[in-house]
Amino acid sequence: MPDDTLFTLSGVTFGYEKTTQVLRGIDLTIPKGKITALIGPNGCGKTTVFALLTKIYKPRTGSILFEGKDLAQIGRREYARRVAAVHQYNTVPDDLTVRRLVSMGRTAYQSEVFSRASQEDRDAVDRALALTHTEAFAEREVKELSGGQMQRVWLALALAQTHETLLLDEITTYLDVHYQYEILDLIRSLNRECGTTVLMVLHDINQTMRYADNVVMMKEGAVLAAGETQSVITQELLQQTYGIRAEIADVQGKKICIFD
Amino acid sequence: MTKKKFPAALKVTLAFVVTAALLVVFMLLAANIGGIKVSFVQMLRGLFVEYDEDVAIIVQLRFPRIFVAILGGMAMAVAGVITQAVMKSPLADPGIIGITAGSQFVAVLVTAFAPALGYLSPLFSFAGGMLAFVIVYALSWKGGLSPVRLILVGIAVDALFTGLSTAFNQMTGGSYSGAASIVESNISLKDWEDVLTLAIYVAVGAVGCLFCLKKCNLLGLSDRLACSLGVNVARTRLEVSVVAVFLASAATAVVGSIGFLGLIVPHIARLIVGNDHKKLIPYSALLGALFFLVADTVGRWIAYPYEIGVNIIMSIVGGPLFIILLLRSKKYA
Repeated sequence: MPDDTLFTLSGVTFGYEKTTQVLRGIDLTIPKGKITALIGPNGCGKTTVFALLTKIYKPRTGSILFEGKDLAQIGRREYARRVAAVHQYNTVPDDLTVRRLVSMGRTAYQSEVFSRASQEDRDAVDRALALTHTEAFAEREVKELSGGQMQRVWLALALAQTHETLLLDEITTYLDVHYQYEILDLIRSLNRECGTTVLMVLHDINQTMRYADNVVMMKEGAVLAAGETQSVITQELLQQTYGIRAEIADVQGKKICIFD
Repeated sequence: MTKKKFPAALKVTLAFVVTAALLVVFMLLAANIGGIKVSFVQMLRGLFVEYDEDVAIIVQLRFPRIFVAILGGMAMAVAGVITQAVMKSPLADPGIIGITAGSQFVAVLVTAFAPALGYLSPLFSFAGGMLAFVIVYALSWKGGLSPVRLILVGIAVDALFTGLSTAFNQMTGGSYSGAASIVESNISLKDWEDVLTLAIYVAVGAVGCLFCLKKCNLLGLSDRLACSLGVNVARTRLEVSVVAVFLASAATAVVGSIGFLGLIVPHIARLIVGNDHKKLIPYSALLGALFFLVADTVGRWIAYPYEIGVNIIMSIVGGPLFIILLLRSKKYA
């Protein structure tokens, strides 16, 4: 069983200020090769879990293991070659071209001082641009892109970095329905074909039920429930977490969630 | 796409060529302003063919000043670009946030107490600059940087060190002319030794810049993003700052504190060549040299035979420009 676990969080607490605590003791395992959705109301600590998993912050107490190894002991560059992330808010110089931005996904593979791209780097960038259908505007500057195009560029940047593990924070937020499903389909096909482990923050319960193998439900800095999607998302739990009444129905063999 | 890309590359090349040409023109003009005037041909003959007394005087008196202006302008402008990358704020400038005041104070002390140190004085200024930088950084950085906080802390640090330099200068009756020239940022008495000192430190700084180009570009990304790309953001920031403070201090030790240069030159350079530091840093160096030389030359020429100090010119031109930049961009709000 431990072989299937990618991340193990035990007793993780964290706060941005000394007096506050955003995470109040998180115990969690994220399985390898699966799509895990992290859901919960705004301000429940999802993004903070992400910041800890991308080594931006260190937990105040408790430990995070990556393949059984303490995250703090893994070098940043080594880690970046195995785990890529798309954050919720990003800023870049607005005259950067898409291709140059996506090429920055290769940072952990290159010298820290000079950026001579190897053939492998160029191939990875081309592949990432093709997968996310962003080649058409690869030479454009990021300021010319729409929110939806930009979101795909962020995914391309992560894919140029690695296909192994993706941490995605609200990747569908700025997208219209068409692109939301397109990007989620893409993520699922990566998961099925390349065995990519995906941990993503989602807001939409129906998307969660459709795409996630596992769900972690958070509320107020703690994990409320975790496990297989089917068993975690129940009417009672939705009521408990979001304070809304919802019905889970079977339509053509697919579960959907209908809100009152 | 290629249709669009080509003019952009052309624009950058053109910017480099035009700026370099202007720099040469102003070097010749600057060499010819003053009591002695020589023709261009006479200058070339005097330089390369045979001894000419007038040309020799110009070489002894005016050339060092020109080269000090060029090297100092380069160092200040590049220090500005890098400080802006580190602080993630286009308002950061080693002059405005007190770094140069810190190095200036130490430079004044060294010039007064140990003038024999000569070549080493920029190293001491560097220590002063680092001290000021650490104070400003520590007080204005809280997970991110609020530009308002940066400017406020910068003003305080700048006032403190500028005050200390002036107080020291007045306590000693302003009799240490070397110290006074740094306080007043007067470059009229610079000689070839100053040029050599500055050239050595600027060369070292230039090598440092080569190591910074990629790092500065990575610092242009938001911290979280850079972090997940495998960049140690805190360490990168520190490494790059050392180069910025080094260049600012070297310039300050020889030239004194020149306000606004490190702010305005990078800003204009960004408009012309964009935010890629591989172009921005070299271009800012060139443009900084031109700005400084023009400011100094105008100061010498406008009220001849009286002179207006280059930092005065920079303040008069820089102050309003700074306000325009503030009003123009919503980023500073």
